[in-house]
Amino acid sequence: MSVRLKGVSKTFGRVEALRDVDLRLEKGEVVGILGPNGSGKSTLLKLIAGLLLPDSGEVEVLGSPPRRLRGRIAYLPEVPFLPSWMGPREVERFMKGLFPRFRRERFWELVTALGIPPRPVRSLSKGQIQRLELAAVLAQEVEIYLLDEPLGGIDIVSRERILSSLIQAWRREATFILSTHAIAETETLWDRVVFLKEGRVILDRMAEDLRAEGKSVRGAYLEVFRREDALLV
Amino acid sequence: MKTLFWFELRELRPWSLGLLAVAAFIPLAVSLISRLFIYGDYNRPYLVLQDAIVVGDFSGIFIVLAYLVRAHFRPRGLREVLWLSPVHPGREVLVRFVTVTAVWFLYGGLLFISTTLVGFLLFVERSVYIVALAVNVAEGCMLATSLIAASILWDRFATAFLLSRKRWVASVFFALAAVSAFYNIGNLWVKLDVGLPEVSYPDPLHVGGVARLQLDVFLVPMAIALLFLLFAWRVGREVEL
Repeated sequence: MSVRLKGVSKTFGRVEALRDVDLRLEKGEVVGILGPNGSGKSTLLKLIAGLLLPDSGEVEVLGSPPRRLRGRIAYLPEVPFLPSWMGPREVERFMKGLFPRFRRERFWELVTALGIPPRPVRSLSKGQIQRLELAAVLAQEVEIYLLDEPLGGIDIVSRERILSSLIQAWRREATFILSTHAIAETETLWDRVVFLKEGRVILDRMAEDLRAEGKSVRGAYLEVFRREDALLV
Repeated sequence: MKTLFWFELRELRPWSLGLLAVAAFIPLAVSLISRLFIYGDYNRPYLVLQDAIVVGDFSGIFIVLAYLVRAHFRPRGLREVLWLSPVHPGREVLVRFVTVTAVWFLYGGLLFISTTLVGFLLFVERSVYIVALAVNVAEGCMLATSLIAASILWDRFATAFLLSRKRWVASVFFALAAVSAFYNIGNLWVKLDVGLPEVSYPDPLHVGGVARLQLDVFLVPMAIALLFLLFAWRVGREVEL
């Protein structure tokens, strides 16, 4: 087992971000964490990463508390993390110095595949920055990848490039956990989907089982959530 | 560690250039302005140089604090990625402290050299005043060190607690950092305002007296900063982000 959450709750002031969440994710799975804005997707990923501590319940990653696994979890934050003066070369130096499992060759392969120009972040477009950050994260050779909205707010060309790199990356024997609103574009990619609403897990199914029932992920999502929420995707 | 130094120095680079410009030009600018418009009393050039040091010290403090504030508002994602690195979070604090303090001391040295040069060029200054200036600059450097320490710790730990929503712990840290910082600023202000001109001029023996007096008040904020550091370190390791 790769990730286990048992009775996990997390509140921020009066806002209950996650409520009594139970989850078991197996090694090598590609997991989609899906749900509307404010449903607790980012909080869930941060708890798995060890960036946040639960108010109650237990989080276990690879059999240990996540904070003992520094360097073994790769995490792409929802918000940009690269300073404006960094270009691909600086990113390589920065990540290599901080993360021993960062692989230079893999990084440059990704930089080429994702079409990132050798310029500092301040002169890159939002999509290019997103791609550079993704390359920095995927170049780590780790057991768990947590990607918070890797397709958020970028153009369709960037999305295509990112998706093809992700599909390449998923051939590794690692667990990928992604939060996204782009359900239609990622329809066929998931091994497992987890739907969150107002901090609760309302559906946790293998995508294959859904398909066997003649449902698509999008169809299941629409069934569960109100149609207005689904239209935002 | 090497990467963290590289990163911090690269972030500091444009600010260091600003400090370099201030250290090089402030003494000359203040001396010329004073000579042209304000004093007209060339028999006491020490006061003019003293003013140059005061303006230089405060300009430097402003620039360094502006850098630390800006560092506080670095991208949140960067903070998260750094936390997930196996490099111990304490090293980041140490590196920022060492780097910023080193730049500050360098700045103090440059300010002293440029003020001395201005003294010799414009006033044919006697060496006794230069010694007094050196003491003044050195004390400014020492006091600013604890101020830098307090600011960095405030940024590192208090923000981490706030992100964890540990509001009470965060409040305690904010209060400690604020007290320490204000105490330091107060001392620095007193030192720069009343420390040298009247007391040390023209008898060089008084310079040593002033230095001893300032050492006492300098030790208190340093002790507070040290306590703050130990407490923050202990609690910070438990709570983290």
